[in-house]
This record gives sequence, C-alpha cells and structure tokens, in this order.
Amino acid sequence: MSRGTEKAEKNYFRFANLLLFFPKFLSGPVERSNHFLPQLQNAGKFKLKKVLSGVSFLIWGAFKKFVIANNLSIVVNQLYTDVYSHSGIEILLVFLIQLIYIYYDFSGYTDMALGSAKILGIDIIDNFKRPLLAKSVTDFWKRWHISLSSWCNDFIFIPFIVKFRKLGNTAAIIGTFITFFIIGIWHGANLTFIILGVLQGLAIVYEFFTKRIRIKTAGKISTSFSNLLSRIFVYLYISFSIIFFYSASMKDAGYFISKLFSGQGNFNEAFGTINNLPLFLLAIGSFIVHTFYELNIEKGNNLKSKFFKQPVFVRIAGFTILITLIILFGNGDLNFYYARF
Amino acid sequence: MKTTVEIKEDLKQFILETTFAPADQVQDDTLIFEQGIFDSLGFISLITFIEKKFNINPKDSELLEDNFESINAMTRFIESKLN
Repeated sequence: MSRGTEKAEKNYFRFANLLLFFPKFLSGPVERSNHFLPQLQNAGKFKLKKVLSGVSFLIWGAFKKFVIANNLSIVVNQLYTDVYSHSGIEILLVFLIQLIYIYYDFSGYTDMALGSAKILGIDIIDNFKRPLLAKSVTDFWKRWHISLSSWCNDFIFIPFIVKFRKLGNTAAIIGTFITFFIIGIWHGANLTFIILGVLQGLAIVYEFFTKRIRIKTAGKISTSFSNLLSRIFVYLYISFSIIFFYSASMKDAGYFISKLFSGQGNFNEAFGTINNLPLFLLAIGSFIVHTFYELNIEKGNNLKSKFFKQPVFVRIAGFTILITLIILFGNGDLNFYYARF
Repeated sequence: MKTTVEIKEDLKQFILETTFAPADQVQDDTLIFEQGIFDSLGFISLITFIEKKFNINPKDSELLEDNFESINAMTRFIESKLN
C-alpha cells in the first residue's frame, strides 16, 4: 500500500478471509492480497470444471503425502529422534532421502491446499516448480517454497538493495545474507536454522560471482552431462544444508555430519532397520517415476495436459489407480512436517 | 536525447554482457527475471547501469522489479523519467 500498488481492504470479513482461509492457514502458500481478494467476488459459485480440477489436485496431493512422504518419514524421523543410536550407513541412507521426504510432504500438503481452495472457487499460488531439478542453489530457491522466497525477495531483499544501492555488490551480498538469515529464523529461533540460512546465502553469493567461469566450464562438456552434474550437486548441497533443518541441536547436526561418510555399518543392516521395506521401496519407485514425469515437463513435454485431454475413462482409470494405491499402501499420518513452523 | 531504439540497444548490450545469455534469448519483451536470465542479485547492477547511462535519478519507490521486467518495460520507465 505504501508503494501505491495496492488498495486497502476495508471490509473486515474479506480481510479476515485473506488471513484465515483454511486451505492455506496451516502452512501456506503465502498468498498476496492482490491475487486473493479479487477472487472473493466469484468464490463459492459452483463450477464443475474447477471442482473436478480441485479434486484431482486433492488426490494427487494425497498420493504424494500418504504414499511417498509418509512411507519415507518413518525412516527419517526415527533417525533424527535419536541420531546417536544409528550407524554411518543408516545416516547416509537418510541423508540421501531426506530432501525427497520434505519435498513430497510439503508439496503434497500444498497440492491438497490448492485442491481444497479450487473446490471453493479460489486459485491460490503454487509453492513448487520442480525444485529437485534445479541446476543451481539460486535456481532451487526460485522453485522451492516460492511464495515465501518471492515474498522475502519483494519485501526484504529488493527494498534493502534499493536503499543501499550506492554500496554496489556489497549491498547485494549483505542483502542476501539478511534475507536468508530471516528465512532461517522464520523456521525457529535456533542456531541450526541460522546455519541453514547462512549456507543458502553462501551458495547464492558464490554462484553470483562465479557465473562467468561456471558457464565457460559448462560449455566444455555436453549440456545434458553438465545439467546432470549440476542437479546432483545441488541435490547434495541442499541435502547437506537440511541436516540443520531436521536436527534438534547443533550437537545432533555435528554428530550426523561426523558419521555421514564414516562408512560404519552396512547396507543390509541399514535396510533391515526399515520397518516396512516394500512400502519404502514403493515410495522410492514412485519418486523415480515422478521425477521422469517432471523431467518431461521441464523439457516442454506437458504430460499433465496430455493426460487431461485423454478420454474420460482413461482419466478415471488414472485416478482410480492413484486412489487404490493410497488406500492399499498409504500411511494415513496427517502430521505435516512443515506445519510446525 | 537517445531514441527508443538506442535505449533498447544499450539495455540489450548490458544484459548480454552481464548475464552471458545467448543473444537470441533476450528479446525486447523477454521477461528477464521470470525467465531466469537476470536474478535479484543482478538487479542492483541493472539499476546502477540505468542511473549512470541515462543520467536519471529514480525514487526508491519506483525501483520495482515490475519496471525492469523486460527491455520494453525498462525503456518505458527510462523514457518516462527523461521526458
């Protein structure tokens, strides 16, 4: 409003609806008033197409949450509850899957929020754009928790660098660290979350200043190989930084890191500790299939819109398979990891 | 005073030099932030370049990413400050 780009909402109930709209109340997305409020005029009117779209989001979100995330959560949460009683290989296994777990937990929640809102006639903004395919940490933050990162960009980073632009790149560096420091402590007043934020700031500043040399180096190898290497590196870097997201204390995080590459223990033993191995493998298999789907979308092959152009019986069959998998193999735990923040 | 075409050419040249993006990817209507050609960290260099090159002094409140989203948007903004 102070920038003159938005008008004040004087209707208390409309304003309360913006703040308390239940699909997004638990853990976002962080909705902008100029996107949400105009939609209230037509909300609540029954539109079959929108309702069906909402139901499809709900089913897809439920599959992500109950079949993928929840079948991985047991392994991740069990380890972080008492990291000291697990072997190096168990820690390595959790290190490799913990980003998948939080992605499917949070994006599953978001899809269900989007679906519930659509049924009520409201489109809320999506929070994810295939983040596990990011080719840099900067790129990752344009794809992960988009509503929070874009809010921080628009209301913290940009005003800061505009105010201190005379400092040049120094303002950009300080602004980046302040922004990610705030994103870190937004998760909780704990040193672990500050480290999480600082690690993001370090990577983004590094990427900014090395862009020229990285582009030159990437030009010497094939694009597909360079993309693959970049994606693996970003995946591992984010996986490393979220050790500080999951760990209850710096001591826990330190122990996790010290054991990560110790090689202590063996894979048979590690897999033996997984309560339900077939469901764990189903979750990993679903993740792999979904990643190929996302790679296709990334390359411009929109499989989603192709699916929705199929005859109605094909679409019904597709969703019946998803619902069957949710009923047979879903873990119905309704605790969303991000709801605690 | 520079013509619209000259302003656009100056802006394009700066964007290509700063981002190393292929020339065919940067058109007048390309959304440079949305397409990932420019990122927020580079925004400061873009503002500084425009202030110095065109000798304009925009207010802080005018320095919104929306005014810099494409070469066309920047040209409109620069021309509005020059006139």
